[in-house]
Amino acid sequence: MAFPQGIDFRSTSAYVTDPTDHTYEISTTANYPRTSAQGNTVGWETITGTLNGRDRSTSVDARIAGLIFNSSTTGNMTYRIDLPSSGSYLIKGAAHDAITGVKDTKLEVSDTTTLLVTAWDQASMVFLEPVDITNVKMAASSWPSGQGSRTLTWSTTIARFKLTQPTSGGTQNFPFISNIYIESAGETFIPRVLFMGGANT
Amino acid sequence: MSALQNFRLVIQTIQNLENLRTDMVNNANEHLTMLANGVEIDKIAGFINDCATEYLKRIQWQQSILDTPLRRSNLSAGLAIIGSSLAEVGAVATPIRNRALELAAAPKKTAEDITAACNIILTNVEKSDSVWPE
Repeated sequence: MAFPQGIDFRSTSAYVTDPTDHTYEISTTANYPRTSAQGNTVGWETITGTLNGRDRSTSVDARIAGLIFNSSTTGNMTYRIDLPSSGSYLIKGAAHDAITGVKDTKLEVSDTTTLLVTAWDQASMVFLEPVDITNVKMAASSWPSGQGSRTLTWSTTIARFKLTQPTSGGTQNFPFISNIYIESAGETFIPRVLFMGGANT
Repeated sequence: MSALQNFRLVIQTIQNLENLRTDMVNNANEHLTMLANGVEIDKIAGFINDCATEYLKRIQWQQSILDTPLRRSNLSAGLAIIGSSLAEVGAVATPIRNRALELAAAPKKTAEDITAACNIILTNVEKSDSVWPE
């Protein structure tokens, strides 16, 4: 397994070119286990309802060029990323629809079945500009370097990203997602001592 | 286990092995695209090695069933429902495993090495047909 791993959700694989550490997800059916080009096991694990992919804009960063949404107003879907080991991981993400902005969606990030954090849990939110994992909306041009992150700790090796209806309901209950990114946050820096006691060996 | 529970093992086996074939071909093409796009050799080599490890992990999931008598019996019973057998699963899994092992062992120091490694998959692994585009 090689982290980081980014997943860019859209309809057509060749619509844009993904960054090296990212892969596209165009499947609208359960496809776990899928081995990404980066060597990680990922995929849609469970789907209630019907998924649809959309290519939205080549004018924005490739990672948020499209989306996958659930056209069932009672639907939900869960994307799974297998982790190399338990520990701390930094996650980023975006919900963005450059054309049809108003949607209702909620992201639940879980450690197997234990909920770690939620995002985008707001009814009738306008996503014409991307909303990052910390619920901050920003210009699409600002998102690549300006997006926030969350560092979470997994006690298992299963990361689940469930898209579902917002808690308070809404008018366009089509859960959707544009991007997920995850990298290890557990690396420690060990300084090397080159010279000790004046002896250079 | 019930017939439905046994059949779940069959569905997952099909999903694992048939998706694996598709992933191996798709990823080989993706790695060649990375090469054409100028991604560093070492980085692509790392991706290929990590992919090979994951392919073997998925094959090992199947082997673990075969190594456990009760699970082996349950999978066999499930396969019988569709007129298939453990031997047929093995006939799919074994060549995939061998190609994954060859991929892991292949040299990956130069662009030619990367191309040759990807071709191990592209010339020997057949992507399964699909009702929808993948």
